[in-house]
Amino acid sequence: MDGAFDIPDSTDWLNTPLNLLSTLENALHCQICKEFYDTPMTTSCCHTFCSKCIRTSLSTDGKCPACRTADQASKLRNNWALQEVVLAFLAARPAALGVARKERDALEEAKRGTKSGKRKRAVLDSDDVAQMEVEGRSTRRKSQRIAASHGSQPEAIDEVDDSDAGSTFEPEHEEPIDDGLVECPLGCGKRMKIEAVEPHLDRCEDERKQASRSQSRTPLSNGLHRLPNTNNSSTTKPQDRISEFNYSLLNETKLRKKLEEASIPAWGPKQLLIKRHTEWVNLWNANCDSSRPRSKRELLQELDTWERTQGGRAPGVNGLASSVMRKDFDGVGWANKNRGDFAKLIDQAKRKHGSPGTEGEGTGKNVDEAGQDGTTVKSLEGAGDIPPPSGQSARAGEENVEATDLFAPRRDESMTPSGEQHHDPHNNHTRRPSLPIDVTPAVAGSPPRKVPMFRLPEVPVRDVDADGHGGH
Amino acid sequence: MAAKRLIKELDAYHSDPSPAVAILQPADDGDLLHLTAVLLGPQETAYEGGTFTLTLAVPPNYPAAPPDIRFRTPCCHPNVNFKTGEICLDLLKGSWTPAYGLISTLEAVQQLLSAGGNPDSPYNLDVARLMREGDLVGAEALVRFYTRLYAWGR
Repeated sequence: MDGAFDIPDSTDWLNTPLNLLSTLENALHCQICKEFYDTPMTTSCCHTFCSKCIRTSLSTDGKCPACRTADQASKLRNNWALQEVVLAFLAARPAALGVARKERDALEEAKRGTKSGKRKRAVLDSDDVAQMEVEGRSTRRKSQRIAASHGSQPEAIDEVDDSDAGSTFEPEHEEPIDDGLVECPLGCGKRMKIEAVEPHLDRCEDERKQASRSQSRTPLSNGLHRLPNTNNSSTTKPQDRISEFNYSLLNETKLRKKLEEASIPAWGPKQLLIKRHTEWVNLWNANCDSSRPRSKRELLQELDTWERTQGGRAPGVNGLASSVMRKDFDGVGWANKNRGDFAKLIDQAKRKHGSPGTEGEGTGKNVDEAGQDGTTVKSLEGAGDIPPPSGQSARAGEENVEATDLFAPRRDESMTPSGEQHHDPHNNHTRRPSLPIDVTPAVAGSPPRKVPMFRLPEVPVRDVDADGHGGH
Repeated sequence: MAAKRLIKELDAYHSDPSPAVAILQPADDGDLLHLTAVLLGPQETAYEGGTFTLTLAVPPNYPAAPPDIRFRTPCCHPNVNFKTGEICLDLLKGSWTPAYGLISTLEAVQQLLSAGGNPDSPYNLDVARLMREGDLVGAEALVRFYTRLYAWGR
């Protein structure tokens, strides 16, 4: 599933004779991650999502993503039927797609060929289809029929043991996975998903206590092997769901301690601790829902991935990933983070403002006049950089250094949200008719130096981008 | 997760394009989380014929959080900030759900253009005022003017 380059997509079917399967495939996709359901869970409003997806979503805003009804993670229920459908579809998909593509190619070829050839080919195709099906069955699912005919109990037990040991799932030799059903190893005769065995066993065991022991163990010798495992797991309870804390009631030290107890990283500010723990709870619980639970080590690895992409070690973000977002943009944090830069800018501005004294008037005048005689003066100046500063410096009749000096304070003003912006609208109004073409390229234009020349709309956009994401 | 889903969405868009969105692609090859889109002005509105460039900044925890979408081409609309390009749309704020995608969100933005928006929570005071005071002809003319000025001829 991690093959990022060959992504199975519902549009694979679109140009084939089986194009209606595209709808089917879409229906088997989780609306959140847009992939095949992985451990589908049904909400109390009867919508279905992957376990991890819906848990993440509920911990973010507590609402069902489909209908916005409030819901809780504890009310989620497994949708085993759907899981089975997805697994079956996934197993059948490659072969079916192969057939569909072959058919499409054949049809296209037939279109080019003669009519008689077409008919012949069509016959051939149906043969191919049959053959393909046979191949598909024999290579991938020969054993499935055995499993389906209830003949694979020992193998089923093997599989359960595997998952108990926390090993990853190996589809090549595990037929019961294809089938998805396992008979209860305690011999109550019920068939269920492998992952349902575990919870079922507890119940079944209780019932069994009343019944005779020998009877319950009859099904298989492997059953003996199985039982200690169940007992073991029920005593250590690795499969128990954990719950989020009421974070507001915990202070940072206590929370840190809790995280240490859970043996997950406990560094960073409280906000990050909360986020990490929420993520951990979601990961853990989704794993509990899963038909093939992974080991804690794998979960910790996944948490580490989260840390690197969205958590405290996310690139370009100090602390919380969400500070990228505008919605909960944290102005104080931003100010702190960029304090050095701001201080430098303010310092610069003050220096510039302080020394020449009359500068303030000068810039104001320049703005107005640059619009009028900017074009004529530009040729005079010839210093080659950007028109407005050149106009200004020419007006001042000084050398280039002076020009940049004049220019710098205005940049500073544009950086800080202040009343000074009013200058620019005037500037824009005078320029707008003459520069309609220049304005659109401004989108593609780059350095902040150019900003004052262009329309104001671009300025804040440019600033946010350049500061927030390390430049383009 | 975000990147994986974005790839999916881009893939789906390329094999099944939306009539509202002319272009949707990463702004540069190295960074999938920043995208550029070109939205077509809805037919039979004052925005008709305009092509609006937008930037999309996708948070790393997408789709748990909405993308930040802004107009790059100045757009005259009561709920769009003419200067910064910010869009006031509930979908992009509180009522975002992970079930939306980039394309459906962009389509919603187009809807916002064609629906005329809500002048009672304006970003653009000028056009919102015209609309509130019932000068729809004036508002439309203003929109048409700015659309032609900035969003035409691409």
